[in-house]
Amino acid sequence: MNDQNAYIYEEIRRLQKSKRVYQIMVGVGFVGFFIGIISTMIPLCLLCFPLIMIASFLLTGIQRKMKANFGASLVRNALSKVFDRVEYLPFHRLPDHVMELSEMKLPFDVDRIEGSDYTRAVYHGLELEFSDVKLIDRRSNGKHTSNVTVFEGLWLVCDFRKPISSGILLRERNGGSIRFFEKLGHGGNVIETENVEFNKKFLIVSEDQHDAFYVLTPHMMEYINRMDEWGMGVSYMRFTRSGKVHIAIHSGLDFFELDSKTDPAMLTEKFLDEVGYITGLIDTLHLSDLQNNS
Amino acid sequence: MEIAIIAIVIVAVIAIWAIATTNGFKVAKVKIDEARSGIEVALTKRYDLLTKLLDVAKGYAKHEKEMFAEVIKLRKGMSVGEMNEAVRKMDEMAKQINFTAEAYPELRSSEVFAQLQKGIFDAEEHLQAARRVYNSNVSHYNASIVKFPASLLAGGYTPEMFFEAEPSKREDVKMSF
Repeated sequence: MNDQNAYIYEEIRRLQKSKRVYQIMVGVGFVGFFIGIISTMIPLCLLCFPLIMIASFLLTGIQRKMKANFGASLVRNALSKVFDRVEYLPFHRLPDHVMELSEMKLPFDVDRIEGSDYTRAVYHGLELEFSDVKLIDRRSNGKHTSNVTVFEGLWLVCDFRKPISSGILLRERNGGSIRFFEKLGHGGNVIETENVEFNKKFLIVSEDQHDAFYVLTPHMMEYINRMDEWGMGVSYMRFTRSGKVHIAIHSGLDFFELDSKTDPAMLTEKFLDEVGYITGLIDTLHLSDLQNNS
Repeated sequence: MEIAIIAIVIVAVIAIWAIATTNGFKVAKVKIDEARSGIEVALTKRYDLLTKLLDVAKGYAKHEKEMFAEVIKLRKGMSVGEMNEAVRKMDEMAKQINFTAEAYPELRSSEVFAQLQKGIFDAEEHLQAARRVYNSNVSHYNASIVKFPASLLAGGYTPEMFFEAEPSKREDVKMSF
């Protein structure tokens, strides 16, 4: 362990301690506030409310500081071990023009997009961009409005060197949905391949049947199936005319975060595992083989 | 009066179903024809590239007397059997060119040869896709004309032939769900 790492680990440990203290303060504040409400002790409420606010503010600040000052450098190191030409922005997400959300035809409404850990890099000659993404739908029942997270996980955009004339959408079928209704609102035709099991598992939409069969070779269908298992979530995919594949996995996973429990010396390992999850998606799809053949 | 209305409704429903079913057969037939022309396009592309590759190979291997003179005839509106035969001949031609290239390292390292091979690889993938589209449409159509009660209206429709997969492409892909 070199001096630089030792310093980083020491600083992270110090910040983790502070973070734990602020978390306890928030917890105590909430408990006190509720006790104050139940027992109608207004002074206790008045005391606890500012405590919650100040501790939350400090907690947010320390999380940001941990990530910006130390986490980012560890993440960059982990990314650089696997990828080439790494560009990492901890507080940014995939830009809207890259995500092309409207083209993904997700089966839910999205009012707000949040995200972090934007990364742009090259992996085995493939250009890729990814970030954590959270899609939020604001729902109202007339009286109350609530924000519902409809998607949370990784959004990866990667080179896919098979020229096609129309986009192809793939998404895991909703167990309870009726196939007739699935055919509506996709702006394309529902494609049925010769693989009955694959058709059962994934809804495929494309304007061009030939393009869909050209991309979804028997091997590619098997790779997608494996990738879906690897992803541990609900998979959404889009193959674009511009030679990219979008892979969005609603897994609830949040990458490259510094929690207050993990030993700082183990953080690099943790981040490398998370990078391994991303490269696993690309490897199971054999995208770099495709690149070499094209 | 009521009986007459019920009878009219039943006849109307049957008429609508019959029209929809026969239209379904026609649409399925059109899709098969489209898919067949897709195969023809892919075959023509593959043939053109193979011919170019053959010319390049001949330039390097002038002394090879067995350099495939088998004539491959392509025309519009080929039957499935004729297309299968053309595919078989093209596979043979590709195999011979590759076999020749093994003996000529300069040919293998030639950029034109490499480019053409990439083009052929892509054309073969398109051909595979076109073939699978065709078979998928044939499968749908063949099933629709034998299913009862639609089979009652399928008197003038006969099952279509499937496009055979070449043996090397028949390998099973293991699917695990």
